[in-house]
Amino acid sequence: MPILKDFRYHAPVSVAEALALLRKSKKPLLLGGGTFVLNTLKKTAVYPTDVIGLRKIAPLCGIKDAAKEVTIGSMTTLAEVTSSSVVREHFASLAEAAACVATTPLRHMATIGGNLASRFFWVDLPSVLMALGAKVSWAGDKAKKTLSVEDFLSLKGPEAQGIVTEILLPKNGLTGAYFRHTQTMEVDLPIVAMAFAARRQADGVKDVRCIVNTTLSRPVRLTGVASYFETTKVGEWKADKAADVLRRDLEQGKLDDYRLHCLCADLESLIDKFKKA
Amino acid sequence: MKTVTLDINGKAFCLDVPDGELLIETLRDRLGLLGTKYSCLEGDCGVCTVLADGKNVLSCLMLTVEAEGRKITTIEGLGQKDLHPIQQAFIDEGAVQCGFCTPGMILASKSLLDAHPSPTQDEVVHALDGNLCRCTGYVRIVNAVLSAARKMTKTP
Amino acid sequence: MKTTSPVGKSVPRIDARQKVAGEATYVFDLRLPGMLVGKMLRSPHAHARIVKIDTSKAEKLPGVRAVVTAEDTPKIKFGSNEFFFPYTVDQLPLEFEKVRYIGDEIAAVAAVDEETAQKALSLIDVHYEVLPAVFSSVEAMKPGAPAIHTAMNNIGVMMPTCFGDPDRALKESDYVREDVFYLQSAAHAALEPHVSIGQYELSTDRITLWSSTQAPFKIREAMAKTLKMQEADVRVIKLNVGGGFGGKLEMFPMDFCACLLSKKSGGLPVKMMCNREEVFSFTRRKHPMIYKLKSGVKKDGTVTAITGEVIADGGAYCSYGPTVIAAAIMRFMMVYKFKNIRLFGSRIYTNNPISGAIRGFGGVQSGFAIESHMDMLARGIGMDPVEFRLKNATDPNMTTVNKMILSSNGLKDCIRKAAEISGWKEKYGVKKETAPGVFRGIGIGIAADVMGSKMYKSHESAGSIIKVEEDGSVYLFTGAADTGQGSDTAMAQIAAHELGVAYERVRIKAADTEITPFDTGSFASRVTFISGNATKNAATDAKRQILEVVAQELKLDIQRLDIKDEQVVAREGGRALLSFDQAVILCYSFNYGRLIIGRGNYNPKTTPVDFRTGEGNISGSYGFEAQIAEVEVNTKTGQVKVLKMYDVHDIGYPINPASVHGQIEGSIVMGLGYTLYEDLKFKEGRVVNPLFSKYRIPRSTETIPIESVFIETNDPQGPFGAKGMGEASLLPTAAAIANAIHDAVGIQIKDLPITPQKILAALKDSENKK
Repeated sequence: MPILKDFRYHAPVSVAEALALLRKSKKPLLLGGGTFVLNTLKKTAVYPTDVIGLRKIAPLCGIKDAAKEVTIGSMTTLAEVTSSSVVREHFASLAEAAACVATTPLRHMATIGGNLASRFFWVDLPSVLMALGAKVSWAGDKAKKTLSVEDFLSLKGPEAQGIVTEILLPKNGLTGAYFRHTQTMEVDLPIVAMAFAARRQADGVKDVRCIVNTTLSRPVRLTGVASYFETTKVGEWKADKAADVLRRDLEQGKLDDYRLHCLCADLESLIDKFKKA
Repeated sequence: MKTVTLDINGKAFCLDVPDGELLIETLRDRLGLLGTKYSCLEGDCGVCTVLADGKNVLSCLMLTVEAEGRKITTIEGLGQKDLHPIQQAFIDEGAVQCGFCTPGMILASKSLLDAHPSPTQDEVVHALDGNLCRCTGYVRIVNAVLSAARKMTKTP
Repeated sequence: MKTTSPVGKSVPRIDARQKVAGEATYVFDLRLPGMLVGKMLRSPHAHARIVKIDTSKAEKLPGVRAVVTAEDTPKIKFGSNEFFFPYTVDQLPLEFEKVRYIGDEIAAVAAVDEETAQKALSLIDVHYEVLPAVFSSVEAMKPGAPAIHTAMNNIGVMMPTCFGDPDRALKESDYVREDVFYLQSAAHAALEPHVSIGQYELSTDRITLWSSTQAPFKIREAMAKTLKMQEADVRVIKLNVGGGFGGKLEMFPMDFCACLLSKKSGGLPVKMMCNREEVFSFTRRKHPMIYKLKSGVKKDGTVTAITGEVIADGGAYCSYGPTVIAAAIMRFMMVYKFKNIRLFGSRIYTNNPISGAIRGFGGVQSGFAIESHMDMLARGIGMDPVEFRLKNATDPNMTTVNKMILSSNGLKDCIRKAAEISGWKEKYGVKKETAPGVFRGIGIGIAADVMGSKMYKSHESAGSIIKVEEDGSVYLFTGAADTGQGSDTAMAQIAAHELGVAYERVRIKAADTEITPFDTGSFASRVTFISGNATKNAATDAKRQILEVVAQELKLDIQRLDIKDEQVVAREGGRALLSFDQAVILCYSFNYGRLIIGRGNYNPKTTPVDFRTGEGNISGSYGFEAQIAEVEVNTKTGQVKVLKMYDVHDIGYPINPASVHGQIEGSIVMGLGYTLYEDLKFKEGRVVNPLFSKYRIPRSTETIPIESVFIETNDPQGPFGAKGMGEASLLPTAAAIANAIHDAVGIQIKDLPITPQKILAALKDSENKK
């Protein structure tokens, strides 16, 4: 002992206070649930001077259910996201995905904001949030912004310094699905995953979003696959045709055979699920 | 350094700790609560499990300064002289071998049973997914939790 | 609570209460006044000559109390299999000439805190001359490969077994198969890391060492040797141990250095501990093996010959190498009635971390290879694998080709029972598609267990002492080292049962080399059988002492007395004469003043093994089991799901059924991990995945239904008929699963772990062949 080298810890009670600390500190580090940050700190040589804990900022906590959208505070734990009746009712695939992340105690600590802000390629939630059309409420240095998930993930350098305050999920009446593959066991990191959402309409679907998390790069939006599903009646969906389109969509990524194989199996399961319902 | 007041097992402790101190260090090195151990310090083994406001969390991933304001329960707080039904069930079902994972397992089980008093086998299995055990193969541990659940829901 | 006649009952573990309350003390928890933090300086190079070590800067750092190198030691080598294999003595506690793997120990520091100790390490200046290194056993054997020790072609251990006339037998076979199996390295992953606390008493030159170990007497022996001390001056104490599985079976340099640092720092206690990464990278690992087999069979199912070669990657030093190789090439001889055998086992030095003992020794690797091969031979002649096993399995009261003496042997009953409870007949060979592309299959593997193996010393004795105090308290002193498997409990049960008292009366003090009698340790599933017999003998002795007094007092013939259910009784009729407590008071009373100190020891009846041929009765008795796996293979994703495991085990008689089932369940789940995903990976001599996040071991979500059944053969040698166990259920698991996969989808995977990628590749291959 001590396990961690020392730093100055702050517990601001407002976003403004947190941003001021971010600006002032020589080498600041934001602390959400701590499951990523504290782990990394144990191994890194690059140490922060100041750690800014977000626990006491009330507006970042809680899930608000409004008429047109659901707002999830960035400090909401993954366990809270999973067990929220509001999330389960309107965004079942998000509840499902959050339940898959890591293990029970980690889900009691890790936050939805942290999952997104980590910018790791292998985290589960960004692709699901993209599929559901989520927006990220972001308090940066200059102003507050509302960004698409893709735009948020693309922020780089000094632009990326800021705090995720809320995740906004529009109530679009979408049916979602999340498929996840690991190398060894359930609690493992995913090696490939697919997030899907679409709105049912008569014998077809509209507004299809098919996002693949290759875990090797940022989530990829499969426009070809989305288009195939939109333009074909559910009853006529064919797994091998969808697989062909998928391969074309992912050609540039040069994905390995095993990942492609898993994704094609997911398409089969997806088609099955929609045909049965 | 920060002065913090911690609620550990229902007792208040006022301590001066470095900002960067982790709860596992405070528990073991300052408060002599050796029942909580650690095995990986990376959040993968669950051996350092404590309860924070009734939910099982990992004390190796929590800053002591952030434990302030939360009710922390360690294995010592669950029962030492008079055992909690979960502790007794672990003994009765043969769920204890080397014992290193045992405190964490018991606390994780408590967190589950507090929220879900009558869990299914599947729910128990998933609730313990953060606690490694190399000795038992988990069979008797799961049996112990289910047995404790049955006993606890029977007693008024 | 009074549990009399506790043998055969699932009494609560004697240490369970402390463990569930968080009060059980492990060396991990121990603090001593003035304790310093010790840290080890390890080689960053896989192979290098040490030119110079300069510790002067480190010594001057404020807060550093001692720095040691080989210069502070008598420079005496040690080896864990020294007694029968003196040529395997190849390791120094601290190296000074050469380092042979990344992690090899060269110096150690003791300081007031961790930060200072870490800083001190960085101030030790070592000049290395880096040498070419070799990381593959096959490459290391080739002429011109870097010489790691003085062994020619880096062959550290070479063991043959030759019986009968295998070449002729192969020629006379109706079907011959040649296959190569690949076994990966693995980690023990015990939850308590390796930790040692050493304290040196300067005025008497005596050492006390607390270590998280399975074998305190082995450490004492090695420490005395390497420090040129008497064993009587080295005390090794075992507390609760958070798992061992073979990874804590010998002296580690940190045991040695903790004591040496204590001496040099003026007698302050020094604690040295490995963090999780260090446990994975620098302690011990499983021997990766290449297992080549060429076997033949006759149409009627009789296996004609087993021939082949085993090449094990031993890493930088020998450790328990010979025992592992012996197990790898001899284990199956307890299981099958083979007459013609020729196997060469070689253990090759490489510049990888040290391969050592791990649950099952080489039996896990040989279990996979042989049991897979048996299925392949069976299919070659169109015979059911269960029938095939029955045709070739050993029988009770026979001597095997290599002179192992099997007395009680329930193997065939195990096989038949396993087939019965698993519904083998209805399931094997029947194509079952439970969902599109998902197929079910069933497979069998069988194995045998030893109860100790005389490969460490001239004897394998264990001893026990029982003292009965005036108030009737019973204290048991045993050298047996409980690392969680429940030996303390079993010993207490045996003592109580034999003495005729309640289990709750017994207190146990175990595994302290100064206080308890000798015991070689917890390995080779020996404790219930060997230490159990010693304990039973001690209890018999204590009982006799009590009954002598009672007989004299009551003027009765001692032959007609017994102690049962806490009463002294007449053997005929069972009439209670006086209570146990009264009898004890009588012993201590004025007319007798007799202390009751029972002593017992036990040395199993074995013969030394001739390691030139593999001939010898290595164990006092043998245990047997059959395991059947039911799996589901998803041909779309390659995922294998094990649905259920059936395990039928000849354990002689269960001293504590819950403990025995617990060991079986733990072994099976460990086997599951090894079969499907555990893989300790190396790159240029460095462990690539030394973390639980990267080296996955089974979790609660991976647990499977296990039906565990006992066959009670009541071994004539075992205490109350009990046999030792703890390893056997790990041996056939991989093959049972691999064979079940073949039944499901027609592919036999020959290299572990069985990953989804391997399944898909094999399925594709098999499609192309069609």
